[in-house]
Amino acid sequence: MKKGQTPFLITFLVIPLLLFVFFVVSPYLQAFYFAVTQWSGFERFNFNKDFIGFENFRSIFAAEGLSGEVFWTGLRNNLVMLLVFPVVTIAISLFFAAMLNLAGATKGGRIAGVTGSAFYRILFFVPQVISVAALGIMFQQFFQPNGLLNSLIRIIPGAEPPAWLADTRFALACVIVVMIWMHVGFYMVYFTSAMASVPRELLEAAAIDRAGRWSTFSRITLPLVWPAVQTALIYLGIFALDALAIVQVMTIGPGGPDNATTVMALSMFQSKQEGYFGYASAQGVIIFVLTMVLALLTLRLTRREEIEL
Amino acid sequence: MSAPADLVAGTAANDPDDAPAPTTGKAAGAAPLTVVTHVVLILWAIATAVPIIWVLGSSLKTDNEIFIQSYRLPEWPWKFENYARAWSVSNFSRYFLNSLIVVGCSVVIVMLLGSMVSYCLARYQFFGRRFLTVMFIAANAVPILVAMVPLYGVLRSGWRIGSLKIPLIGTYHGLIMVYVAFALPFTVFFLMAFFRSLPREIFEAAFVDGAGHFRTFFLVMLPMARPGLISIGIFNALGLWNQYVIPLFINNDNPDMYVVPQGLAKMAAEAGYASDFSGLFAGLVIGMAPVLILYLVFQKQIQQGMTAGALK
Repeated sequence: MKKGQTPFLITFLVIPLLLFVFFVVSPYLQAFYFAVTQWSGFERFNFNKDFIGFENFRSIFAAEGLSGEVFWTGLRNNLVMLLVFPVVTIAISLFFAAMLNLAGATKGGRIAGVTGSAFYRILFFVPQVISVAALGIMFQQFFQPNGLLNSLIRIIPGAEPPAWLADTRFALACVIVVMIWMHVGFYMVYFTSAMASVPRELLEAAAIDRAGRWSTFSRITLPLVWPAVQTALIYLGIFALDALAIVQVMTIGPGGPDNATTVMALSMFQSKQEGYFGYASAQGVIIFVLTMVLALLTLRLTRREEIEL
Repeated sequence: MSAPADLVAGTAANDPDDAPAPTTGKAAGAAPLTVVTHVVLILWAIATAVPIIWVLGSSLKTDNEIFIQSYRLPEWPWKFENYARAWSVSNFSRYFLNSLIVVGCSVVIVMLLGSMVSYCLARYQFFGRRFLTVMFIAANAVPILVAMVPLYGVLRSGWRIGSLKIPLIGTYHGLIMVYVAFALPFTVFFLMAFFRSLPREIFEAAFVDGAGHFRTFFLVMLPMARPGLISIGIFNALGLWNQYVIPLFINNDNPDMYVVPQGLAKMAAEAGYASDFSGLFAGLVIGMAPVLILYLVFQKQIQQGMTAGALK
């Protein structure tokens, strides 16, 4: 240990740690504490006066009280997102990553990506750098009854396109399409960096052995990038159980029409806005537990033998 | 089975374009797939670019033009006054200023604090080091939603130091501190790897030359970590500029304090009543332009920085 180490460490660590504990750690812990109270968030918090045990959880599970059925409708929509969005996003982005890196001509025995790879890589990533708020509004206008999509469909004579976001049959699907659109570029770049570590000799050996593209991909590339796929599944799954920002900005209501696009987090946000902080915290805790369970399940279910190279 | 050795050698030596037909196994079934590949890639490129280009076009139209055959290009003369209206009437100048102040200060502070913490964790042995490291890494993986309601409570109560009361809710410093605190775990995680990779000898040499801990950090280590600082700085600038959920929960009371994404959502919610959709599109362009420009200039660092986050 060098001279003066302790004062140095204290000077460097004290302010950031205080900020972190005060604004990050403590709110997480408080959520569990507020969840068993009926604190409204406006008067001073008094645990003895506001403590109501598991009443918030009971009324959420009984679908009564403030949010009633809406929270569970939200869960159903979150689950639909969870079933569709991560898998489709990963499939498309894996496909693009493979195409951009490995599908081009075999130049001098080296495997290259298709022409224009660099351009596609820059363009596809663009949605990731724009605010969800801006993208949500953009697509709200895009799907508008007289927006870009319908103006294009109406070029076909006699076509009568639906009002997308105002139609309970299509609204949720539109949100999911936008979620996929937002994330494909990011995961494509992410899988690209994972594929960069796949040894070229293996792929070239497969090519020499006249292995088809699909079997090369499924037997060599995919197993080697599997840890990255697993990470992507977890992150996209967490996003699917949240989805607050995109739904709050893009949909009618928000969460409509007729709760067709509502999500659990939106119900939580609305409880907070109406001044039911204890209730909102309990909803937050339920979302948190569901998310953590999902992440652990994904880790377990997708475990494969590690491939040693 | 494997291809004869001379065939392989021949493929590697010749230009594959004018090599005889049965070169490698790939070439046989390649042509149709390549066509499909290009079509799919071009379609996705269109799907990505067209909505954004349409926003740009619509920002130069009148409201009538936007809703009648929306796919058309804006008619000349282009309506640049939409931008003026969004900027002043819809109060966008205010949101832009708020975002500049909050994001600017947050990025500078989080880079300073983040490099200090990550340097200590990467370069020193002390009690609690492992615990802090695990805490910062774990904080990256926990969804922030559950903390948002209590965070609002924390800000509402403000700080009381003796008789002095410091308000936090609806203030720049409150929002900046929250942004810094939430950006800190990833910044620390990212920079820790950077400080670890710097050669230990330089660290030792600085001490031998009589530099103390502080001088070693500020004059030797920090300048060496510059590439990492630039990547994480851009990453934080983008992420915080685009942040929507945090301000939605804790900065929602006073529209004068809104940041750009909130201002956009407010404009969108009001566009129907104010019937000013062209202004809304102009606002979208103003909101997206800074990040798009930053992205085009630094696209390599941004892609690396953002995907490194998911690689943990």
